[in-house]
Amino acid sequence: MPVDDDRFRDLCIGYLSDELSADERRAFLEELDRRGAEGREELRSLREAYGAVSLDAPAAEPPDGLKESVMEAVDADAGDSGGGTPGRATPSAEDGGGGRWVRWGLAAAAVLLLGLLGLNNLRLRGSLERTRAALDSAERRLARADSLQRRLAALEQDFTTVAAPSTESRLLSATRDTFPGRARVFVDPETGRALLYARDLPILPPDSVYQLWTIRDGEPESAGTFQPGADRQAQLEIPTAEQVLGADAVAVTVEPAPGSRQPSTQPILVASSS
Amino acid sequence: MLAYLAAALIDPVARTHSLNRRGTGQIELDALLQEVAAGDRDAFERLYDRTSRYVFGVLFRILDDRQRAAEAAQEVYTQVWETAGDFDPDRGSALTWLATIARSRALDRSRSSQSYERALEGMQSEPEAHPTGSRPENPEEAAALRRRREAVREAMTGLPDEQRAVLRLSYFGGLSQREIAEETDIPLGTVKSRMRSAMGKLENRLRPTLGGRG
Repeated sequence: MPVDDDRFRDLCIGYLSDELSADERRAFLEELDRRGAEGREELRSLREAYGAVSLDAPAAEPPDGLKESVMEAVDADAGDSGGGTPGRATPSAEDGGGGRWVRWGLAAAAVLLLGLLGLNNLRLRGSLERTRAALDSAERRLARADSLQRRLAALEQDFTTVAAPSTESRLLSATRDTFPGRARVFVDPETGRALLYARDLPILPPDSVYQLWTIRDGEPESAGTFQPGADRQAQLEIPTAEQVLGADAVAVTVEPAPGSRQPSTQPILVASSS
Repeated sequence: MLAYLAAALIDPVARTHSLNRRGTGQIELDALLQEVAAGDRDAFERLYDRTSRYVFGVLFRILDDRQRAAEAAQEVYTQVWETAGDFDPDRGSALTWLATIARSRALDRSRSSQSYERALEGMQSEPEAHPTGSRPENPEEAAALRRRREAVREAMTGLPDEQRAVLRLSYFGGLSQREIAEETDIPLGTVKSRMRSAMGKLENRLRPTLGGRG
């Protein structure tokens, strides 16, 4: 079931702070998939805002020796992977066996061992994170299957509306010769359903949406926003049939995401009342 | 007909502008991480030099212990070396990616020993500034990070106390919203709405500084 904007933001925040239950996580991934580019952009924006809280912590100087220790671990990893280990002394019997060299050798070995243990720990953690990513992927596929099933049911319902004998339709024509898109609004007064079908729409940048307006007595009212799919087609369910039946005109504009309260650009598709 | 529609439809006041841009320092960090992913040790060293004060600051804020923060920093940078290839600039900035790793490693350590009471005490207070030493750093980049930090501090200060407290308990204390509700005796719905509102304000106030896609 689609969730409202506040709930989606709650789920995004829960996802970023890693506190969603398995069911919530599945609902979130499903909704993220349903919202497409718009949802991903919202998540990205929230991720940046949440991450920015880290800058509320004052900068602090790391202790002396931390950098050397970190670089030692990296060099050990490079050596472990078959690369060179520049600057690393390798104690051997030829070192003479003096106490000082033994201590240096033991210290170097301890640093190396700690580094390798740390890396092993990280590899295990990496494996855990990869397993979790695989689980996420499986959950996304499952959510996608659910979503497709619901989409099929919705399409069957749309077909019933479009094909009903009582259904009226209005063609929206392009206001410019260069605009390739076309759209048609279907209204079934008997069931109260109204749908917009559009095709050949140019794909918009992620920060823009198409928005449908009905105009009555010179006052525009939003009937929803939409984005074409990869096939450049789009569908939109209009809140009520009355909104279209009582309108003097219907028009489509391009607006900044997630939509505008009032149209802010010239219409690209229009249909006046017949 | 079109003139009528244009008059009815266009309201220039309603037009909004979205300025999505990324700072130079942010792009440089993205590029450095990509070099690290390719196994470039020198790039990793530069990344450490440019971010260690920031990362250590986050770790120290969460753990409140220099020794444990140093241990966590070792883990953070080793993980960065190992997993830099996982960084995806389309999902967020390099700084946010680093912060996520640092927060996660610090909270792993914190949860094993810190009580909620201590978290509550520590996270609701204003953070103290720490000396940042005199090591040389790229002045342009340091200035960019300083500007970001100032913008965040200003945005945080501008939040109502109760929203700021909830955000800090979540980010630095690692408490879930349900835990925050239990510990502070506030209804969960109120905690969620405070968190949502705080995040919305931060998004709006920081958008020009932190930028977005682009």
